[in-house]
Order: sequence, then C-alpha cells, then structure tokens
Amino acid sequence: MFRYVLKRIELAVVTVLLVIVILFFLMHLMPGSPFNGDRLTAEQQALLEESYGLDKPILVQAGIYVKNMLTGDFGVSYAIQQNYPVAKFLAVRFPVTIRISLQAFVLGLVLGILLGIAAALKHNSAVDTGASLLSMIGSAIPSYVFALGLVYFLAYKAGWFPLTYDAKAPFLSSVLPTVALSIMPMSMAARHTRNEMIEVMNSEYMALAELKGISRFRVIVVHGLKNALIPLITAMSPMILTLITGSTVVEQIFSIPGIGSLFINAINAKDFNVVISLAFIFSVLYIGIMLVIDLLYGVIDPRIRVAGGEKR
Amino acid sequence: MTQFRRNKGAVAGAIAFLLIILLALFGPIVSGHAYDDVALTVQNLPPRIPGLEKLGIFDGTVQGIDMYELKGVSDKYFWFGTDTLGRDLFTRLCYGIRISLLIAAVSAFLDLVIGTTYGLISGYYGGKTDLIMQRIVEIINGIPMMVIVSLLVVAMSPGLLSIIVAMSISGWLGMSRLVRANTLRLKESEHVQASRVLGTGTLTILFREIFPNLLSSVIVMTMMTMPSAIFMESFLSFVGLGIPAPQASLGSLISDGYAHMLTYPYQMIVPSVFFAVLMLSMNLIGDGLRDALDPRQKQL
Amino acid sequence: MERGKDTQPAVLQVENLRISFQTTAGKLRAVRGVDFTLHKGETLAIVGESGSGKSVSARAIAGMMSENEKIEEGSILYTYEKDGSTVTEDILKFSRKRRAKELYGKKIAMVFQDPMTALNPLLTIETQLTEGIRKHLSLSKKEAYQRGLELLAEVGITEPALCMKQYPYQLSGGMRQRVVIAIAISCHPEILICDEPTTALDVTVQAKILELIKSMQKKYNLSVIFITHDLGVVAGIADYINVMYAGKVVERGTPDDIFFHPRHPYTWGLMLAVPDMNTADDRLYTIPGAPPSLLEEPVGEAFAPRNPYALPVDFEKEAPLCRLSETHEVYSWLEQEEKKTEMPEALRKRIAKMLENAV
Repeated sequence: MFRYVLKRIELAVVTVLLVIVILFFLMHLMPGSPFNGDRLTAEQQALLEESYGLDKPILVQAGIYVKNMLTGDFGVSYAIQQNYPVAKFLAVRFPVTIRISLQAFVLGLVLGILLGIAAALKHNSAVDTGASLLSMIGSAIPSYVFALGLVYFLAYKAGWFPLTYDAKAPFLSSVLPTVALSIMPMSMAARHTRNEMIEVMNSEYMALAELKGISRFRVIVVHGLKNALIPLITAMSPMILTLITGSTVVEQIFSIPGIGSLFINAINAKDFNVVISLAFIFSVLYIGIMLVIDLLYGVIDPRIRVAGGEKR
Repeated sequence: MTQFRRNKGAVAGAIAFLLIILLALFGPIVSGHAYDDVALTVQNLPPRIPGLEKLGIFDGTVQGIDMYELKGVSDKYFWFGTDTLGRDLFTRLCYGIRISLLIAAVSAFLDLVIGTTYGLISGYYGGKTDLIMQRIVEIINGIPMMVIVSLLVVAMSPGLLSIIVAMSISGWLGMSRLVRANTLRLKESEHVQASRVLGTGTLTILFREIFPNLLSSVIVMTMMTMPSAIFMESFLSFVGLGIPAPQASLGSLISDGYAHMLTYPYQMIVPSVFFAVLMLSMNLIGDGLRDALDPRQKQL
Repeated sequence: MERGKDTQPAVLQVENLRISFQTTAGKLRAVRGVDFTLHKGETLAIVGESGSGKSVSARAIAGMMSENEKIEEGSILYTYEKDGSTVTEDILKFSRKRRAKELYGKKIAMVFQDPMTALNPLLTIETQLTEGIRKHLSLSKKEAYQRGLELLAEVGITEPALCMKQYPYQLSGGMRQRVVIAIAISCHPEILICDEPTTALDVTVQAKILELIKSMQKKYNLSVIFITHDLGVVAGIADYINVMYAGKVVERGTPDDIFFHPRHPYTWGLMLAVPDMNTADDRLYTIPGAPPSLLEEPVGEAFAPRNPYALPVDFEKEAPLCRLSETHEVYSWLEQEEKKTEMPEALRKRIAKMLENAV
C-alpha cells in the first residue's frame, strides 16, 4: 500500500513540475511581450523588461518561474487589472468555483448512484428504461446546454431563480448552476452504477450472501455496492475533467465570479500571465484530484493494496 | 450488424445523424440564401416555414406581431429566422454543422492515426520504450485538455487550423491507451508468436496481425471521440476562441444566440437543439457499435 | 421409496418438478417431471452430465432462480420443526421474503461449485463468516468471532485467526472451499446442497473436501444433496443415488444397486465412460451422440437416439417406473421385456473386477 501511495504521489509531483515548465515555454510562444500595449519607447521597454527579469537567459527565467509558481507567486495581471497580483484574484474567486463544482459533483454522484441502484433493482422495468434514457441524454449533451435551458426556462420565464449569481444570496443563485453541472456526473454515475450493480447481482457471491439469510438491505449495500462502485471510481477522473471544463462555461453563463470566468476573460483580454497562472491552477487541481481518486481506489480495493498498484 | 440494427437507440441515432448530415450538405442549396448575406433590413426575424406557418407555429410572428410584415418582407421565408446581421439562420446552421462535423472528423482521424501508432509501438515494443512513452502519456494526461487547447489557440490565433491542431495534441491519449492495452494482450497470442518465429518483420506483424484485431475497438473509440471534439470546439466558440466570423460553427451559433437569449430566444434554441441531437445521436451510434462489435464491453 | 431399515424419516420430497427457462431461442425445458426424496442424515447424490437438469433441480430447492426461470409444475415438500411441532410445507410456494426469513442459513445452506466466485472479493473472511452467525444466532461481534474461529478450525484451516483477517484472493482454492463450507454450516442448517463442490479443485484437494463434507454430515446429522457428474466422487460419499438425463431421473438406487447392478442403458454408458486403468482396451468409451436440446419436449425417451438398446416404443412413449427392489428403481421399457437385457460385456467384466478387488 505504501509503495502504491508513494508511486502515485511521485507521479503527480513530476507531472506538476513538467506542467509548469511546459506552461512557461508556452507563455513565451505567445505573441508579443506583456508590454506591447503601452506606448513605450524601445529604451523604456528594455528597462521594464530588465526589471521584470525578462532579459535573462531562458533557462534562468524558467527556473525563477518554477520557483515562483510553486511558492504561489503568480505575478501580476497585465491587462485585466494592471499590476494587480494574480494571487489576489485567485483568493477571491477560487472558493466560489470550488464550492459550486463540489456541490454539483456531490449532488450528481449521490443522486446518480441512487438512481443507478433503483434501475438495477427494477431491472428491465419502466424505471430502468427511464433512468437509462435520462442518463444517456445527460451524458451526451454538455452541461452548458442544460445551463442555457435552465436559465431560459426556470430563471427567465418562470422566474423561480435569479438569473445570475448573487453573492448576497449565495445559496439560491447557485442552485441552477449546480444543477446544470451535476447532470453530467449524475448521468454517468447512474449508468455505471446500474451496469455494475446488475453484473454484481448476478454473481455467485451475491447468491451466497442471500442464502445466508441476512437482510436484503445488507446484501445489496454491503456486498453489492462496494463491488459495483469500484469501476465507478475509474470513471470519475474523466468526469472531473468535464466538470472543470463545464464549470468554465457555466460560470460565464451565470456570471459567477469564479476562476472559470476569469480564465475566459483573461483569454479574451490577452492577459497571458493570468491565463498561464490559471492554466497552472487547473492542472494542479486536476492532477490533485486524480491522485486522490487513485488513492481512494487503493483504499477500497484490497487487491490493489497488496499488488503494489500495478493495476492501471 | 444485426445486433446494431436490433438496438433501437443506435438505429434512431444513426438515422438522426444521417438526417443531420443530409441537412448540412443540401440545406443551403434548398434554402436559397448564403450564410454570410448580411442584410440589416431583415435582422432578427423569427422562424417562418412555409406550410407549417398555417398551423400557427413558425409563422414569423412574435407575440402576435408578424415581424415579416413589419419589416416589409412578407415575400421572404427564413426558415429558422435571421440573426442580428440579417443572415439566414437555417443556412448558417447548415454551414455550422458542416464545420463542426469537419472538425470532429478530422480530429477523430488524427486521434486515430496518432493514437493507434503510439499505442501500437508502446505496446508492442514494451520495456523501456513503453515506460517512457507511457510516462509522457501520463503527463499530458495531467493537463486538462481544455487548458491545452485554450492556450494553443491563443498562442496560434484562432482559426480552423489552430483548433484542429490544438485538439490533436491531447485527443489521442484515450485511443493510444486502448490500443496499447489491446496490443499488450494480442502480443502474446499464438498467431502473433507464430509470425514472430517465422521471422516476419515487425511492421508487418503490427499491421497484419495485431491491427485488424483492434479494428472494432478502434472504430468504437473513434465514434466516441467525435462528440468530445465537437464539444471542445463549441466550448472554444463559446469562450470566443472558436471559428472567426463570418464562418459559423454550432458552437459559435449558440454563443451568438446566447447573447440575445432573452430577446430572440430562437437564435439560441435552434442551434442548441441541433447540437444536442447531434451529440446524442453520435453517442447512441457509438454505444450501438460498441455493443455490436465488442461484446465484452457490453454496457447500456 | 424405502431406503433401508436404519433410514431416518424423509426431510425433503420433490414431486413432479417441472422447470423451464424462457430464452431468446425459445422455451427450454430443463426439468421435466422429477421426483426424489431426501432423508434425514443421508447423502443423496444426483448424477448426470451437463444439461441434465441436476443443478436446476437442486437450486430450486434452495429457491435460487434466475429471472427467466419458471416453475411449471410440482412441489417440494419440506418437513421440519416449527414452534415445537412437525410441519410439512411446499417451499416452492414460499415467497422470497419468507424463504429468506425462515429457510436461508438456518435450514437450508448451499455450497457452490466455484470457490473463486462464491466469496465476495472485497470483504474479509471474518465479515463473510460471521454475518450469518450474528443474524441467526444473535451473537455479539466477539462471540461470533469466536464461533468463526471454531468453525474454521473444524473445516481444517490451520491458522484460523490469520484466515479471518484475510481476503478471498489470498487463499488457495481448497481453503476457499473450506471457508464456503464453514459458512454453510455456521448456522446449523438441516439441509446442505452441494453443487459440484469439488469440480473446480485439484484431485488431491477434492478428496479432502469430500472427507470434510462427510464428517460434517455425521457430526451435525445433516441431510446432504450432492450434485456431480463424477461417478468416482459419488462412490465415496453417497448413501443414495439418482441418475438424471435430459431433465428426468432415469434410475435410482443405493450405491450397491447402481454400481453393481445398474439397469438403465444410460447408467451403463456412464459407468463405462469412466476410464479404467485395468482395461486392455486402447480406446476410451464414450456414449455416442450428444444430449438433446431441450427447446422441444422430446417424444418418448430422451435417451433413445443414443441408446444402443432402444426399443421402438422408446421413441414413442416415456418409460414407466419399475421397482426392481426395495431400494432400486428404474425408468425403462427394457424391464417390460420377457428376456432380461444384460449389461454390456465390458461393464460386467469391470464390475466383476471391482467386486474382486473389494473383497
């Protein structure tokens, strides 16, 4: 187990470092220097560049950059708000995004699993077909289409929910974006849970468990669910990715002040420093979550613990 | 084949998909408009379809007012209405679908080529080569696709080419993993070993022995990556990094429509619906193919 | 039918059981009118090849049925103690809930064929072993643990405490099967159904498991139904044998009856098919042909097409029951004939040799 954990962490760390390096070089690919917008003479530009350390050899800059990123010094915004430290942006916006994404994920997962179990238990009935249909639609259509629909019908037409995110009513105004984002994880969770549960229920150990005469609840939950959920964990990492991408657009739609909308604004404003910093944040988030999922995997499936994590 | 036909969902998906393709190909010819016909006189007209308008829907009215009459163009028919610049949405939609499908097809193809080759090599040679190649995969995998794509498009300035290139950078990962896993498995099979003993060249083995057995999984995977390519493109468009005007893609149409969602909802609803149907049908086809071709992976 | 003077009363009586499966290819008639009786404390062996309907019949007793399975006809009468008095009920009519409540674990237990799949890979042996005990015997966690240790020792696990903490994948096949048996007997059931419990195990382990089952049976006075296709296994442990083919019983008797005086051509075929090192033949005997597909109800005797001794009537009508002795019965038209049809020469020789060696 220990070896498995170590291996996973090592991989994550290496990936993060490489990401920073790649991002750094990408940043240099971006056309122009950060100071192109201002009207500066060539001399002044050179001076500014020197003060920002932009004239040092590439590798040195890269080293400095890596150090900065790791210590949380993301530099300043060039365009959105001149000289405003990016880190401050993040501090305000990060929690919002995290909160809504987490809400959506948990909601989607819980509802999805419940739905999946119900569908599996009432295999081939109307419940099953209905649930399968819904999950099919939910996983094919991107979250922002749902977001648009929800906004149009429930916020605009029906007026039940505020159109945009309002910090003064954080709960109510986060309902629609949460729901929109949760549809995808819910659909995937339902689908996987249903399929796995059906397979599990047909297995011999379930039959044996039933033959022991223990309560049906125990049979399903203790014996069945655990086995069914393992493949679900494997499916979760692509889910997280789509959630991150989806939240970016959803934030835009609902004007949520999170890092997703910041990312879009930065791209449009060509504020490269913010863009790169955010790219880094997203990457770290993603890598971190994948690490957690891998570790979770090890916890739940004892076979992996002992095998040393060779299963991938 | 029969199993695919039996799957009602897959068949429905396939039909819908074909219909959409036909629409995209022949629609503009039928409608008689061009996609970049800017004409401010006819801006923001609601949908009006001859025939159906007798039923009270798609009759060019908004809350009872005949907008066509208002603008003095009662003789014209814009089937899905027009946008803010007076361009016919139906035609734009068709072109948009074409572009979206093109992007999907090209990136799926690239994914296929790159991913398959990478996976074959990595899986077949194994050992150090495999280790290094897989490390690279893990690292690329660590960066969310969205980030890579956005960054590259920004760096390379938006356009059809940059989008496709950007998506090809990380899209092939899934394919390569699948191919590698299968290659590892097939590598040990008897007919491959027999070929090796006979001294057949590696390349021949790869393409004659191993690849044909992968074909079904690869086809399924390709079908499944197309929707994500379209999704990525629409995401980019929504964000403003997509196809530049005056060209249209489904994503940009939705994005444009979104801007006027409250006043001219049809501008957003129509492309959204088509987008949803397209995604859904491709997924259904993909599922159907998977059930039919690769029973081991059978899922709903 | 009687068994002998020391037989205890009947515990389970299966009467005219007919079971079918609804498949995509049509209706599969897996069990076509089967009768057998299980007496207390005896081991009843049901022998037959794959597809004979033996597993399906036994599973029906346990109430384990697939979604597409249907009981067309018949009853399974179970005689047991209930609230102080002896009752006999048709357990086929029990609802699933009732079965789970009254029968499972407490009265009827089952041992499956494949120990690899019978245990839940994600739960420890302790959990799987003690959950039934805690439920039925109302013991505390500690007490159940103790009982579990005892059980593991009883079934021959050398380090019970270690085993309790382990997961199924850490045990060998033989150990897993022992655990399954331990689980089965943990709540003192009356009836133990073993569905080919040794088929998936090595030959050496097989013998040990069989011994184990036998000793458990003696100790707890269990009534065991033992399903197998392996005659060798049967010889060691059966008190009574039912031979099944294509969904029906063709012959039944004590091991003596079946091994030394078999009367049904199918039984002859089965006996001959067991490779015998002592024969001078250089070819292995097989029964030509294959079992019939039970999608159609066979006309006459199902074995007729493969039966070298088949009479014309075998292709028309089902054979009647013939009582050959107090314990021995066979379903065959041959018995109606004037002249007794003798078993194949090869078989007679073999049996003679068996008797010789036995003395």
